[in-house]
Amino acid sequence: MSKRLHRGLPGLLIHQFREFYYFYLAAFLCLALTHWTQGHLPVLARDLALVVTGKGGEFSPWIFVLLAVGIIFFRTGSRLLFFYPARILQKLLRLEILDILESACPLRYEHHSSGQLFQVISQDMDQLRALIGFALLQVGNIVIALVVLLPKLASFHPRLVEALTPMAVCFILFSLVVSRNRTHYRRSQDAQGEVQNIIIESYLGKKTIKNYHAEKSFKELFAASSHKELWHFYRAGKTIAGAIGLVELGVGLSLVWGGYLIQLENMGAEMLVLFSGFVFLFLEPMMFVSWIGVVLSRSHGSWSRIKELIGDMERESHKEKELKSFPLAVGDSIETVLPFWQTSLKFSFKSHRWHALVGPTGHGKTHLLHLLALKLKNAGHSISLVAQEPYLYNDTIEDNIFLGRIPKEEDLKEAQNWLHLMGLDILSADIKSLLQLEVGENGKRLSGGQAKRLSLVRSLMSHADIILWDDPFSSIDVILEKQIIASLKESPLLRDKTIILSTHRLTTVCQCDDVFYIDKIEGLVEKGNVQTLLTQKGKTYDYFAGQMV
Amino acid sequence: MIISPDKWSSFFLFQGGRRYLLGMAFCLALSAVLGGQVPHAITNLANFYGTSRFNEGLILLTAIFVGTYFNRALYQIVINKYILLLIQHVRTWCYNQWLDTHEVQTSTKNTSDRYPQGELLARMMNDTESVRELITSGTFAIFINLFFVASCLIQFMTLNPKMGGLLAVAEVLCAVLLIFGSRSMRDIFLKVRRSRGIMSRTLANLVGGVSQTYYSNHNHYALKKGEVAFDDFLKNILKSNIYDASYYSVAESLYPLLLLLVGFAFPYVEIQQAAIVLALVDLIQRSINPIKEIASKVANIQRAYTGFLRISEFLKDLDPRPSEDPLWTEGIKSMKVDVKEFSYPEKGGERFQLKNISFEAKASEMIGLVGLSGSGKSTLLQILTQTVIQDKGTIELSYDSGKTLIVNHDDENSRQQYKYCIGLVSQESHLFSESLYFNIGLNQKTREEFDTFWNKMKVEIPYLAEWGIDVNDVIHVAKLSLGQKQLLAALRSLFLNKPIVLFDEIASGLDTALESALRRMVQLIQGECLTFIVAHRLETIIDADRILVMNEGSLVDSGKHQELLQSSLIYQEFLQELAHEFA
Repeated sequence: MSKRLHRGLPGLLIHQFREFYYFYLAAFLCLALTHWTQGHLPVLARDLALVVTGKGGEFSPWIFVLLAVGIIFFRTGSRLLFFYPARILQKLLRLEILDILESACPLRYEHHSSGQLFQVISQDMDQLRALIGFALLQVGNIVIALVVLLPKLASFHPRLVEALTPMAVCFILFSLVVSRNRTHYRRSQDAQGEVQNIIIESYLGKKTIKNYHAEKSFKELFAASSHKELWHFYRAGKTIAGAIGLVELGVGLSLVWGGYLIQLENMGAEMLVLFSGFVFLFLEPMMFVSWIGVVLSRSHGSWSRIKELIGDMERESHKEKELKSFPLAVGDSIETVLPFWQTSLKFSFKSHRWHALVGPTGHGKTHLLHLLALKLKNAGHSISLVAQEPYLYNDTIEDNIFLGRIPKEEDLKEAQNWLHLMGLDILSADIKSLLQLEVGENGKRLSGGQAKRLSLVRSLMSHADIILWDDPFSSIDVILEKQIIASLKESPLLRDKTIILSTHRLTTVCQCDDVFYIDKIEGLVEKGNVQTLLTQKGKTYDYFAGQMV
Repeated sequence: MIISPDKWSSFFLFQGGRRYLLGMAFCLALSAVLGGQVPHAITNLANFYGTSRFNEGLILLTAIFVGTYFNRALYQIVINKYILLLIQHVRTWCYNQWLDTHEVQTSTKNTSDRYPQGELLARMMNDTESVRELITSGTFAIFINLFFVASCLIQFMTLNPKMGGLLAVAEVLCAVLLIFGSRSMRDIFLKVRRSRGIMSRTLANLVGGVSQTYYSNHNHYALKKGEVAFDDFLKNILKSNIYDASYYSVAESLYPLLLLLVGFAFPYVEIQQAAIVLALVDLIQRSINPIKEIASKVANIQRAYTGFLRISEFLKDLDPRPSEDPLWTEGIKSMKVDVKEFSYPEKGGERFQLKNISFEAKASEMIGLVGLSGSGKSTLLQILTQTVIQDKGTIELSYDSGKTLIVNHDDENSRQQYKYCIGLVSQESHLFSESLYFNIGLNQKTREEFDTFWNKMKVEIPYLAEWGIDVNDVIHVAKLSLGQKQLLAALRSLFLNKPIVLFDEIASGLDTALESALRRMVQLIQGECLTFIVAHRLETIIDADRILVMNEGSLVDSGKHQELLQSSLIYQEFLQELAHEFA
């Protein structure tokens, strides 16, 4: 995929022109023809005045109809030809950013909340599209109008062009005012992300809110945050308000100046009709292009937000750099050192065996698993990590398992088999419809334990060489756990895999080969064979003693 | 789909908005006054061409233009303020109604995922955004221009009634035709909006999951799903662009057509003076723009209109039932649960059926709940928190004051009253990305009360002081461990005086300080509340006053640990399975 988002804004525009040049050529041609057609109108209006007052000339109806048809045809054409490539670009850019996001290490964008990510891909991309579709059209429109109409006006009397000065000055003033207005738009856009975040949070925590009867607090929170966003928008709009009538004022003043010149140079009263006709022809493109300032300032904010995000996603984060300096060797075993609190821990995980990380909660097992996952992933190994609270997409069970891969018939069979073993077949009447079952947003239609088990199936079907599971069986009762582990051990799927999991459970540890006991202060306290460590007095033994009923 | 007039007024005539509407009306009137001067000023200009009074005409025109400019600026400021308030009004309305709506899961219906997260965002943000676009696209400006031009036209009629009348009829006809034509665009804009909604929903969904998917083998899942949504949106938006663009240019072609009309009409309307022709052509030129604007802005108005339709559809669909204030805040003496039967609507089958569950519990008791996966203990827990509603059965609470509350599935007030008594400590008890102070008190109590509570807790639970967390700091939920989350949720229940607290499995294997903190927390809660603990492991409930044993959807046994060891086969089996590994 050619990376459009890596260019600067001008580069992006140029690329867009080159890619869709045939659209833009045709669009400019249409614009030129539109203005050429319209350029006849002031002259015809003057001729009409001459006919009426009996000063000669003749009235031919067909020319008016022809002009009308021409305007419809060329104007429609020019607009469509400008909009189409911009919409295509918008889609491509969104796909590009999704692609970057999907393949970026999550540490790189961890300080962007999901509300902010959503804002960039959704709203900011739309601002950019507005710039490329709307703004280009309007700039083209005014430039071509000037090129076509100015010489024509000058051909009647050169000094008439002079009278257009107020219009030009007012337009420039307007553009200056609105372009100085970026900060508030930017703040308003940032604040919008916050508002979205509150909606997301309220959604996720609605049960809690209702449980505690805290609706009022949240209504206040939402209102305050929404108001903040809107206030910045209002501040931005207030500056524009003073400028908004400027273009029309310029047109009015140009008319007056033109009138003055017509009398001064004695051009004749009919010239009043002709000149006002031209001024109004300029008004249309001017009015539109005057909004370019707003579009520019909004899209400027959006573009910098997009670039910031892209920059973050593609720049190696501090943590990644730090992690890189630690060694990793994968052969018959995975030998690595991982940073841990103030110190670092050396691990050796033997291939094709089961390893358990144990130790008190909050001492960093989850963090270690993530670091290990990152280290392995960045070194190009095929891994699969199931997080403590796995995310499920609002999609079918099948798509959640295969994540964009097209499953073969035997893969589906295998998946069905695992779903059955994980006790998930009770979700649906028959195994076939089970795969097509929608799990709801973040697996909302499943219980926490079911979601976890589905993620385990996903992990099994990912065919990764190294499997990392964070507390995989915590929400499964011990009996089902035993059955599952027994099947896992028999399965050819896991025969050549290395499994590293964290757990608090004796029953899980018992099924592993090696155990690592981790403590925040003392580091890697014990490591070794499970059976040995569970029978010798030591940290591991003490830790699990309570569970040995 | 039609919104009744009172509905529209409830959108637009909100509190505090009226004076801005009046301000708008004033600006519009002023615009009409200024517009009325134009035809005379223009004819004077032509009549006095070549004389010294010509310049007077120019000065008058200048005055009109400058006046229009200032009026326009004022109008814009008023509109901006009005729209700020309008969007705030609509958004908070939506949010409040949504928050007051209860998601219901009974054995016959499930409304809990009718409006997923992305859809909410689409309704509250994108749909109100279309109203804001009315400003950014300059749509509001056309009203003031229309007043100006209409007044111009009326004044022209005093100069030449026949021509003026003809022009007025023609222009009104054009405007009506254009607006009529625009009605066909409504469908396509509604489609665009729906696609946009689907797109936001998809994006919100994808954005939530990418950070985890990174650590698994996948084949561009987000990209593929995104593309489907983008393509659908693209298809509809391109279609709407065709309507949009052709509509606009048809409006623009009115200029030559109106000139044609004038050409045909001249012989019949007795115009000979060049001055009138000048005023007439000026008028046509002036009026083309607003008519054309109607055409180009009609899309924005339609967009805003469909936005309002969707918002109103959303509001209509919601079923807000704000809790009755004030709720009973006193303690309880006992509770009685009697669930005759419950099964999930979509899951069907016998396996998830819950039946014949009945037990009683007294204040300050600790009740354990055990059972294997699928035994129904999670469903029972959800009934106890009333996130799932038992259609057949009741829950009864006796309050300290002697009042009795019977929780019935069809009595929303009783359910709210009941829920208010429950503190849930589980993964479902959400912590928000706000300050610790907000999370524990949810702004339900004063800061002083909180500080007193917090200081007391720091003495009771030394871990809180060691933790080093500041009460004003924003909580990074992702960085909290399960145990810490439970501790905070439990603190919340205690601080807000919940008489009944439900723990969904207390985390174990924590570090010593946190473990003892949680244990202490349970003790503190137990001292004041009726406590339920749902356990997957036995050690957390071994000291319970009573243990309820669930099996295949029924309550099969209950008693103390020692009693159950003797009497309950299921409990023994459960225990054996647990201990099996080390027998």
